[in-house]
Amino acid sequence: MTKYIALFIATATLFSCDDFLDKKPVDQIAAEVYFTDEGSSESAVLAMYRTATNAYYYGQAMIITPEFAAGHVNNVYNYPEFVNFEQNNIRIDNPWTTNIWTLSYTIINIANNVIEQVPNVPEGSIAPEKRAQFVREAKFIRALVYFNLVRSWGDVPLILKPTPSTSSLADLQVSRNAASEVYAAIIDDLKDATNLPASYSTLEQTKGRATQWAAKGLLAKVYLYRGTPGNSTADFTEAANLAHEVINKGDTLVSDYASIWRTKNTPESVYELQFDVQATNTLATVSNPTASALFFAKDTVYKSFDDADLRKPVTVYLKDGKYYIGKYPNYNPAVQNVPILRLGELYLIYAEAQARITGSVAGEPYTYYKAIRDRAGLTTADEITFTSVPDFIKEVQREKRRELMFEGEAWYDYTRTGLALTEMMIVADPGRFVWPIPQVERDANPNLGQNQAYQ
Amino acid sequence: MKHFFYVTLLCVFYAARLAAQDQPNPAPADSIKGLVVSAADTIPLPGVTVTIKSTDKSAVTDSTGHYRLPALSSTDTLIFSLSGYKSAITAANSRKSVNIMLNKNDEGTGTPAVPDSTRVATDSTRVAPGVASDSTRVVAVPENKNATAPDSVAGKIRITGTVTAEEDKTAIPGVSVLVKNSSTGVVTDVNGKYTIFANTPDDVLVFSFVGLQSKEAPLNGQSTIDVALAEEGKVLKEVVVIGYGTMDRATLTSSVSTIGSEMIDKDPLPSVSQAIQGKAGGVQVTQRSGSPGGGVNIRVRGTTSINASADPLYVVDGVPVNSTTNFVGGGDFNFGGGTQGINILASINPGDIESVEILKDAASSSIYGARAANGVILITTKRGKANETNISVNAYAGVSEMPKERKYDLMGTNDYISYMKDYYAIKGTAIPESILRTDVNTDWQNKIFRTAPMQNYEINASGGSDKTQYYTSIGYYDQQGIILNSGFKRLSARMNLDYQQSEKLKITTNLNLTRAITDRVQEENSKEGSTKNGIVTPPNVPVYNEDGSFAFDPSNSARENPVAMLILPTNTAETFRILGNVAAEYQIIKGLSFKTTWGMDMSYIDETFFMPPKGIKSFAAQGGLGASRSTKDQLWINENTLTFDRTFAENHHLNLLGGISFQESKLSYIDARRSNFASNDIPYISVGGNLSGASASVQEWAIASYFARANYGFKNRYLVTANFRIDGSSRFGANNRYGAFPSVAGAWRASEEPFMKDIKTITNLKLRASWGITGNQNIPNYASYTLYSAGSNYLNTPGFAPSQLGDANLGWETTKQLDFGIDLGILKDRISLLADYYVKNTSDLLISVQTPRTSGFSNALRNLGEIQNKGFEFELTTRNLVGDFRWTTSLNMTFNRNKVVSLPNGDIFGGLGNVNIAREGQPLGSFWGWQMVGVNPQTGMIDFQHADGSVGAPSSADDKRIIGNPNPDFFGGITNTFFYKGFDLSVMGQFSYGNDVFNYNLFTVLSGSSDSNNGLVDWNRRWRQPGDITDVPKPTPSNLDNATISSRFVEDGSFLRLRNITIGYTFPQKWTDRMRIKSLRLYATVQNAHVFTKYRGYDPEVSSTAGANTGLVYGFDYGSYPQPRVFTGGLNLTF
Repeated sequence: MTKYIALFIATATLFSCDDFLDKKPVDQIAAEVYFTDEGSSESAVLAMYRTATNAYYYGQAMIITPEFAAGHVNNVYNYPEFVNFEQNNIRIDNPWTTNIWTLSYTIINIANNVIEQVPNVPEGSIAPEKRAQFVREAKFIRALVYFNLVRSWGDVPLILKPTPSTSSLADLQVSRNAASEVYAAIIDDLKDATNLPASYSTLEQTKGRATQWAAKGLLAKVYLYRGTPGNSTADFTEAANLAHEVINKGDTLVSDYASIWRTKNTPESVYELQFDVQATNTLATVSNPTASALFFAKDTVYKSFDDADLRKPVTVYLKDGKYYIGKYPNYNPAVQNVPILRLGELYLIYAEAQARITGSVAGEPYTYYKAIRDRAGLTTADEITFTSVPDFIKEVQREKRRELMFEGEAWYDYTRTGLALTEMMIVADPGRFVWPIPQVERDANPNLGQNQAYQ
Repeated sequence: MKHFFYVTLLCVFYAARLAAQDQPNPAPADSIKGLVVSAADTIPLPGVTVTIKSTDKSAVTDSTGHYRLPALSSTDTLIFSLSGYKSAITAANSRKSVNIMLNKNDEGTGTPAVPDSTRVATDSTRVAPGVASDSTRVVAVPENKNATAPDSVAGKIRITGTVTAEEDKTAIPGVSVLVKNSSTGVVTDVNGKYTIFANTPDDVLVFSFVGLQSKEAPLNGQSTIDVALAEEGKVLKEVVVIGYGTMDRATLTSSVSTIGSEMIDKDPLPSVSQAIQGKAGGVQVTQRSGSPGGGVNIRVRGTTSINASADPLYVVDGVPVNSTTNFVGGGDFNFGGGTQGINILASINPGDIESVEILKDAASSSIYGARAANGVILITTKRGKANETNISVNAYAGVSEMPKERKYDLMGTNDYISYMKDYYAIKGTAIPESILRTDVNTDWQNKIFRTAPMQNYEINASGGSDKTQYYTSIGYYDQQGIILNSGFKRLSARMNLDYQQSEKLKITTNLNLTRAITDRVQEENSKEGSTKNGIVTPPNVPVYNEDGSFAFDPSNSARENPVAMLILPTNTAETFRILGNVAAEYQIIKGLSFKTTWGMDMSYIDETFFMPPKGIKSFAAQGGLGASRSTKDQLWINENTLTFDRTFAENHHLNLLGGISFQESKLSYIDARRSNFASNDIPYISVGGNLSGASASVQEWAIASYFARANYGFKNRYLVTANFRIDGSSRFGANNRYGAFPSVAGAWRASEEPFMKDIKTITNLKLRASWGITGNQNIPNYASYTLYSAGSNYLNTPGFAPSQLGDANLGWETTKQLDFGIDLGILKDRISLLADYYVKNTSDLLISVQTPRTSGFSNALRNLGEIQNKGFEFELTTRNLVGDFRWTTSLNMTFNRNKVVSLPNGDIFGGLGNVNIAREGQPLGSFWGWQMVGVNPQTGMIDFQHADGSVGAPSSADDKRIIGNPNPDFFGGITNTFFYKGFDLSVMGQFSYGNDVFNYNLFTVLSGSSDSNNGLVDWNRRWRQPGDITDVPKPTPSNLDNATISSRFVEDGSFLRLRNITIGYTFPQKWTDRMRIKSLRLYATVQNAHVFTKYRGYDPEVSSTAGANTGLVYGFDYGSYPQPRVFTGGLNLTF
């Protein structure tokens, strides 16, 4: 017996503990060994889009929060966390600012990893054109997210490198960059992304992933936002040229406005985030006339549309005494797509930018503005009635507000020009064009500071 | 000041009791009892039949050799018989107590003989040989030859004398008198007289008698030695289970609390956790939820960790089990019924437990190294005993109810309408007609709570032969919850076998099978948790419409019907668990043995979740949601130990242990979910229209360990223990995989010193000191890796995203603990005390640091910072009254002070709205928020204190401050037990003092910001107009300033709970004899009879939120399931 025991102990000791203890993740992959080939690279790219469908981003928050700020929607409970946006009195601990901030940088980190790692994937494991495409897709998404960040908060940290696992916490406590630096980085990214292919193998891929048209369209919008009236017209020129290019790429406005949301991937869409049963659209689940409804349209929205406006019943409708949001009708299953950029908006971007460059409403600015109204079945005053470019631009913005109602645009568009002060805000304070830096983020990073109005 | 009051009160209480004690309690001799031992080795003999001659009255001795017979006439004769032994016959002669020694058939003559060799043992449990001894000492000792001894023996010195009782000076017959270190011995006669022949004038006589203290008397040339023997305190040898072995409590150097089966068996307890509650010093057991089968938090000597789990390690019969006490469903889904999880300890039937030991200091726990920093709880199950067959039945049944006085005092319809009129006046919109409805006044709390039945049945059988012993049991426990549709059922079976294959080889097996079904409900943290949002449903909304359908709040179309939310969904978990081990122990040479153990713990958990499409608003749009998850949690362990135990040169006792251990665990699950169900009828996913998700996950971890221990004792007086363990864990970074955990301890049994022998009041005094290092590895698997995880699919193509920011240097959390302790027994152990002072310093904390989210991650695990716990704890047991009326009090109290010593990266926040903070110099988990000043008489809004001294709205984060501390100043438990003639009564109280609770429920009932929420009756005192002085503000539509995280919702969580009151009656022997059973006890119990507290929520013992069982998120009431008051009646029956 003693012999056996000795043998047993000897065996047990020989048994290598390092192997025994080396439990590698089974259904996850360590980051260092993740990017090995085209397949893994593409999976990382797709994760960016999927993360953008999260309820804390385009799946709900990135749409509904600016719509609250614009005063277009109601919450069933009148929850202060939503209503405060409308009141321009956002608490520093508001959960939605935190949620959007968190998701934004989560997506940015995924994109940064793709941009940093995909170039290092061994030759031969990835087709050269795919390598370039993945990096540019990531740049498009990164630019889109930074654009939303800079529109929402102004100065934000500009992070263009992935977070390494060796980071000390001090390394992570970054400071904010000026909004102008952020815009510059967005434009850099998008310029590179304009080299993306024009289309992919399927319609879903072409609309659902970044293409050169998506990049050009977004770049046009970014230039419009960066442009400063009365200063140089350089940005507006870029905006106009790019918008014009996209408008003329071969697709036209769809004649049936409703089809943009009732069907998927219409010719109108330049870039459309794809939802399916795996990635459901939370906003669609809670904005339709079911027992689950949480968000409603305001009666003022209903009244803001001319009864003759064909967009009215598509956008907002009355049922059982409540006004409902009409643009997210596919709720069971909630596979409602979200058009992020569509031709209708580019028409209005072009109209505005061109008017600013030429200093005149006449010609193309008026034509493109009218095209949107024509589709809505509205008559438009003669070109001659618009005597002042600023007045015309206000009209374009008001048209954009209706055209892009419940698409998360009006608040940013109105704060961009200051029109919000007179036509949207309850507290007319330009300091409140931007939101407060989330307090939880400031707790973790003392270097951020706070926007003036919330100090 | 209040603490002093309470402590003083307790002291006074005690002093009064001690003064009242020592009343002699002569009782009529209505029964006769005694002890039967083997003459060869004085080991108690179980199974001896004791018969009264010429009657049919008889009894059988129990496992300790004791018996008891009903009253009989003073002239009767007792016959003792046992197979293999010679029968003994003795006259009772009015004695209450007859002790006897039996000779084996092949030994000597039938006449009891005086001891013929060796020393008489000093062990008090031994019986004076040869005679029936008697504690009343009025007996004739039959045939005592020594009384008529010869006058002289050649070459020897004749010594005579009388032995009397010190207490009452009466003579004691039957005392054994020995010449030390010789084979000469005699027994005193009926008058207590003896005659003995010594060899030299320097000889020493040893006098011993059961129940009395032995005494040595040197002759010093005298020929007459009279001695008086003192009664011996009941110093029974208390065996304590320690890691990889057992020890005598007397020689233990470390701090271990023991809870024996006698403290577990008698009360109807759902699980082991409740058995520990309030019974051990330094151990804080917090019921996280009153839900049947729900989880508990156990903290041993304070919280040593901020984010790693602070749960102790549970070791069941040597198997460190999957100690995730609370199996909380991971992922993004509503598995888990709120966040309370499943209490995995609930799968062990408390009736099977022999003892629970809690290893508290580093010296006792460091043998479990890297998992011991939070303490170790050893659970030992019952085993069979040779030649003693027992079949017992325990059954009880009862009802649980919601304690009415604990309900929130909510407004009725009239008050509600008045409040809402003010609300809408402030809001400036017309009040909806539906809010003015007056014909309904629903008390929603009455609708969601119910009186629920519970029942428990168990049968166990044990026994065996000299070679094989068994213990087997089967039990069924069923408790319905006091919230509609919740409940817990457990069917358990156990088989423990011991087989002595040869003198050298022993094989043992333990096997426990359990099937448990938990019916869970939405408790907390969900949109319509019944105890959180459900109760604020307006009182003028009925439960049902006239047509029988569920009614809904017309003013808030998103509000669920609280009753529908409980009744309609399905959320069950079925757990099947196999826990067992096989061990072989081989004695290589005398004193050296090798033991190998193979153990496993496998749990299979099947969960079914269904939110029906109709009646549940939030799932209506997607047509309901169903899900199934199947989880498998497997663990195996192999441990091999060598133990060496020997006494050298009489005084040196050495015990050595060395071992290796390998343990591996694997957790896997698959789940699938579908939406779009056609009807409420079938709650299974196969019926759903859309496949909305399916996933699977696997995780593994392993730990490899090498350990050694040495115990050395000199004269059982000076004791030293040293431990050393090396653990390697897969959970840590490749750079930091192994940790070393040493400890040393010493003890001095001062009461064994000769100079202490004269101090009669102190019967036991031991001073202990220990120091050691333990670790904590309770972090997620793979935490050291920076990971990419699957699941971010897009366009039906797989997507991988970064999911975790790792740290290759991640290592143990290290706790260094210093402990000073004292074991004290006074007045023959009528008062016994275990007290300890400890200092625990924990460094390299495993902290889930909130990283700036700009990193792409919200948190990351890092080793950072230090925490200190120091404190004082004691367990005091006083036997206030002995005799027929017995009264025993056990009190334990713990005074723990927790402090965050350093946090290099600054404050760490946790909990909902960052209500908990870890900050240097402050207790862990302190509440962080704004400080309320009061209601501004001009505005009706609450003023909060600003940093600059002004008051106003809670707008700047700089004005936040520490507003409370969830750590108690002290906590503990007190148990009083009384016995009188078959009646037993025990009253157990549990208390905690000085802890704050953040009552988030008050947010719901006092925020005043919602268009149709009911609230507390406090609103009747609301501010109405400028100048009003009140503590309740005005309603504030869509404004949360008054409801911000502030001191307004911090409440004193101090409490004294009458946890358990049990009264029982054990039937007298003459009844049970007639019924041909061994014993029968009937009892009735009230659990949670009352809670004395100022806390306004359902219960001051609260959960944290989000299932977090970490140190930081603590003392937070988020709609916890209230603890029920339970009335039960039951019986213990033994055949």
